[in-house]
Amino acid sequence: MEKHHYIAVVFLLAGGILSAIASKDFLSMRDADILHPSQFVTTTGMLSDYLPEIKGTYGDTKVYYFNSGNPGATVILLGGTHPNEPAGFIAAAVLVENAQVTKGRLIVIPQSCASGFTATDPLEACPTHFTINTQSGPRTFRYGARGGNPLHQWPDPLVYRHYPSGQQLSGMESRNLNRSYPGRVDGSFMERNGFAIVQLIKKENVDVAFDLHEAAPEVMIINAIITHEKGSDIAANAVLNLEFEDLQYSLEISPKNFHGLSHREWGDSTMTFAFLMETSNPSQGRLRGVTSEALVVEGNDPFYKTASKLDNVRITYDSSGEPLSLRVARHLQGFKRLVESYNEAHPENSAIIENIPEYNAVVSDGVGKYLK
Amino acid sequence: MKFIRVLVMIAFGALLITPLYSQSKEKFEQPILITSAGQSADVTMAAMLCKKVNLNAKAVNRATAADVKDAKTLMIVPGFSSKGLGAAGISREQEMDRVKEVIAAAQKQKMRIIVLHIGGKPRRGQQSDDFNKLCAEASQYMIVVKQGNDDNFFSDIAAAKKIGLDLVEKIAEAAKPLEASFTK
Amino acid sequence: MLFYTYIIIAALVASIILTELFREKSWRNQLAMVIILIPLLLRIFQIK
Repeated sequence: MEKHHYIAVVFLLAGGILSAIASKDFLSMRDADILHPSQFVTTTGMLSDYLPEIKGTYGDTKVYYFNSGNPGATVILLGGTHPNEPAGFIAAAVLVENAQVTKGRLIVIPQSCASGFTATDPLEACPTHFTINTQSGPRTFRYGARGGNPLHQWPDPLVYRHYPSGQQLSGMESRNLNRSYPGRVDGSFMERNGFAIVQLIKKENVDVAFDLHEAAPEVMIINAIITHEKGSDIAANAVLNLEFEDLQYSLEISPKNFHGLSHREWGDSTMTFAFLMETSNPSQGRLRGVTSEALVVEGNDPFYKTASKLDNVRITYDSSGEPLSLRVARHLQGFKRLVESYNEAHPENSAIIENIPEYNAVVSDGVGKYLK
Repeated sequence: MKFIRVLVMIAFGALLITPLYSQSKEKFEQPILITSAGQSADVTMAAMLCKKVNLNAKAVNRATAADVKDAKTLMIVPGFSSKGLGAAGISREQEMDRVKEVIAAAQKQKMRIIVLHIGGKPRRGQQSDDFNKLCAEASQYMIVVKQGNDDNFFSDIAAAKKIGLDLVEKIAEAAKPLEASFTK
Repeated sequence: MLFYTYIIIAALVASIILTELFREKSWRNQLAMVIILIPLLLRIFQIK
């Protein structure tokens, strides 16, 4: 062996070690987040119970059922449709770990796009995990990507054609769960994911459905409730009631010609009243600085702070920050008031969900206090 | 003498505590036709407010001159929404023409017009203000959420055109002046 | 199908780089080759 062969072996070994370190980091995102369900969770199932074709794939995800045993409405709440919008996932986790249903049923899917939790978005420099101090000490949760992992659905088409509308979107949206409804059984990985969720809504006769999201502070629709036209009165009533608590939500009606989104397709293809909520998440924004765990949890970004003081930049960002606790609190309070508003409109078929932490308590105590 | 002084003071005190929104005005009549000017979802909120105070109102997002016939009051909820216009499949110009047509029809019928601007700052700015101005100037009474009047846009129009105006802090607070402005 | 075609191409490129790594005499070029090899390995083993 000559000298350059020895050098090649040494470099190869060094490359191997670096690959192993990187692999460990990447593979850590395949370890499932652990939730500690409340004693009132009656059953735990899988999404594949509604579509066996996704069993054993990264499209499958846990489903938690709270069955009061008393007849009433069935409510479903989805978190983690976009795994880089953690307030939805954590709000769902708070419900799984605390809620008690005394009338009707509640179904929670905390990580609706399980595939998206196994990777971060390329070139975004996002953390793979974030930590919340909880009752039992620090707990770590995954911070994923907006869409599914390309390892599970590849390649992206140049143009994504939504089924069945034929609406054209950019290719990467083919991995976006919230552009894949109502989906199809023989479709792409993400279309099957969407199809399974629609099957669940149909089979369980879900009356009210929620999809929790976040958006960058510069996005126009933020701190908003978006609903299918069927739910406009329920949403308007909830917005007014939330306003009494000094919580501002703008009401948006789902455009009839924008397909693939939960509020549009669930409303069109099932009997459910569909609602989607948005909060302001600076860790998703284009103006942000370092994308650290601290930014995800504390929501403090110096560049957004500066931007919020400028008149010519239109953003929804409180200069004191948009912490995860506040964003989760908004989702939980919005959820609570929308369910109440539904109950007001349908007293004959209502759902009573208790033990949802109050907005002020979550903001002041921190969301960790409501995680076991 | 002392008795008269007390009476005067009571009368003065009563004047002070009288809510501003009751300082009007010829009352409006029902039924109400609610329409949007700019296709924002605020029209849904306006319909909900009317429902909460038991006003007989019908919301038609894209009302035309034909819809005006059956109503006695026209309530316009101005505010531009690109999403709303996109969903309706119409351009800003088409929407502007429709609003002008509805206002003209209402004026021809000698119908009175109320403007309800409840969207705050998001329903201000270049795109919205053409709608806001057009509707405000055609109205006889306006209820505006204060955030949307930071620059006195509506107060200036109200002062110049001698239009009744009530400013409220929150959308929900618009219910009271709204209720008070209608005959029961 | 395209996915596996991609993996085969990545494996082919990786094996060519590996062969060249042992032929190359400049250590600077060898270092560059190993750096290029890392993402290819992560792709082939479907880690990232």
